Amino acid sequence: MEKMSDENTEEVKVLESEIERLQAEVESLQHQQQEINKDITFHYSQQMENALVFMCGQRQEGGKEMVMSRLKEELEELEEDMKLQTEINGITLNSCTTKTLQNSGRKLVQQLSLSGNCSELVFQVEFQLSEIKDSERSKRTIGDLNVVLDSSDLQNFSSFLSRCIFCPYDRNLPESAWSVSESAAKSRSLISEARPHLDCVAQSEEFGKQQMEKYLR
Amino acid sequence: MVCERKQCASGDRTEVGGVVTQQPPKSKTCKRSGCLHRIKYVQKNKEKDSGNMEGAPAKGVLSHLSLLEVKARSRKTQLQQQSRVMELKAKVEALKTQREQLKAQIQTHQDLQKLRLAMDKQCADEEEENMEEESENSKLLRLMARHTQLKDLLHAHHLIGGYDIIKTRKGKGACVSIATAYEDVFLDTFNLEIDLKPTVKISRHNIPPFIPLNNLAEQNNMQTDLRVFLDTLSKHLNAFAGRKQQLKLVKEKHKSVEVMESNVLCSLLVLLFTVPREKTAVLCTLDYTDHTRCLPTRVHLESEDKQLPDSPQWKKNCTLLMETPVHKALITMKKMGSIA
Repeated sequence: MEKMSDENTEEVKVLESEIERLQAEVESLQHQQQEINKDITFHYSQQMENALVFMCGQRQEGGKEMVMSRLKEELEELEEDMKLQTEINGITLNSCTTKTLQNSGRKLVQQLSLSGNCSELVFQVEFQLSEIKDSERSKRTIGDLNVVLDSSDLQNFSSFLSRCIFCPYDRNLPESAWSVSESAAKSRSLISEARPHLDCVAQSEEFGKQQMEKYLR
Repeated sequence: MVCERKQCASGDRTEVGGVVTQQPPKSKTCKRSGCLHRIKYVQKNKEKDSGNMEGAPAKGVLSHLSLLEVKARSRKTQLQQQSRVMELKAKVEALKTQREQLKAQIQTHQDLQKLRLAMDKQCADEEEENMEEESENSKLLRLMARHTQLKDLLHAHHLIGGYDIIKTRKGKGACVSIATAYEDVFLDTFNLEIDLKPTVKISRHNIPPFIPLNNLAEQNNMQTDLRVFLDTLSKHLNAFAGRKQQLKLVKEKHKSVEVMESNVLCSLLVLLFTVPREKTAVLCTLDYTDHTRCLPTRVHLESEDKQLPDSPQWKKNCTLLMETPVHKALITMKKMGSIA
C-alpha cells in the first residue's frame, strides 16, 4: 500500500512537471500564432476557414472534394469581380503586398506595394496607409509615396508627379522643409533616373495619367 | 499502532490469524516515505492499565475495526491519488492535442505565406506559372493563396481610387462609388446607382445638386462609355472636394485671414488680408471657373492703398495664389511679411 502511494506520488510529480512544460510550449505557440494573425488584413471567408481547418488535418463533412469545390466557386466569383474592377478602372493590378506596421485598436498603419500597368504604362507604387478611427468616422491618409515607372514615361507625368510629391506627409511642415522631406527626395531621384529614357507619349497614355492622378490626389 | 500524523495512513500492524498483535516497530519512525513522524509505541499492557476493562475478544474487535478504518481511509486516499493521476494524464493528452493543432495551424499559415510570396513575384514579373505535378494538398494550398491574393488586389483597386463597381439585379444594374481625396487625405465618397438595361441611366445618387450630373452624362456619352463619364464626374467631384478642403484649412489654420464670401461649390472665395504694421486691408477674390481644378483661374486684389496691388511684392503674391493651393500660399505670404 505504501509502495503504491509512493509510486503514485512520483507519477503525480512527473505528470505535473510535464503539464507545466506543455503549457509553456502551448503558450509560446499561441504567441507565434498571434504574430502571424497580425499580418492578415482580412477576415477569412467561410470557405477559407474550412480549407484552413482541412489543411490542419481535421476531417469535415464532404471531405476534400467539397472543400475544394466550394473554394473554387468562391475563387471564380473573386476572379469575376477582378475583371469588373479592372475594366471599369482601366488599370490592371498584378500584385499587391501588404505589411502591417502598426495595429493598435484605434490606429492601423500599413505599407503597401503595388505593381501593375495602365495601357502600356507599367508601374510600381509603394505607399504607407494610415487609418485612424475615432468615434464617428475613420481618417485615412497616404504617405511616403514612391513611384517607379517604366521607361516609356512622359514629361507631363513627372512634373505632375513632383507637384503631388511636394505635398508633405506632415501637414505642419513649413514650406521650406518640403525640399528636404525624405519621400520627396527619393521620388525626385526616381524621376530624374527615368528622364533619360523618356520617349514621346501615346494618346492612350493620357488615360493612364488620369487614373494615376485620381489616385495620387 | 498507527502513525499519529493525521495525513499519514500507514499502518504499522501485523495481523496474525485475525488477532492483532502489537509489534514494536523496527524503527521508531513511520515508514511511509516523506513522513518523518516518530511512532509512539504504546504497549498493549499500558492500554490495559489506562482503564480499558474490556475483554481480549472485544479489544480484538476494536483493533480490527480500526484496522478496517485505516484500510478504508487509505483506499480512499489511494483512489483519490489514482483519480488525480487519471485527471493529470487526461490534461497531458489535452495539452498535447492542443500543441499539435497549433503547430499544424502555424505550419499551414507559413506554407500559405511562402506560396503567396512566390505567386506575387510571378505575377509582378509576369512569369509563367510553374505547372509541375502537385499533390492534392498543394493544389488546395494554391487555391488558398490565390484567394488571399485576389482579396488583396481587390482591396488595392479600392485604395487607388477605383469605382468599386458592383453589378446588381443579374447584370441589369450597377452601383459605383466615387472616392475623393486631397493631398494625403481621403475625403467623402459619392455613390451612384445605375440602370444598365434597357438603357444606361442613373437611377439614384448622393451627388450634390451643384454638380451638373445630367449635363456631364449627356456630354460624355454615358450610354456608350461609362468609364469616360465616371472619370469626368470624378474629376469634378475631386476638384470640388479639394477646394472645399482648402477652404476648411484656411479657416482652421489662418485665423488672421477673414473669409468674406464663399459658395457651396467652392468656386468663389473672397478673403480679407491685413497688411502688418500699416494695418492696410486687402480684399482678395479667387475665381475657380474651371470646376475640374483645385487652383483659381483668376486672382483679383483690391486695397485702400491703390498702389499696393501693383507693387512687386503683391504681384508675386498674385502669381503665388494662382499656382499654389490657397492654404499653402498664405503660409508663404505670412512668412514674407505680406500679410498678418
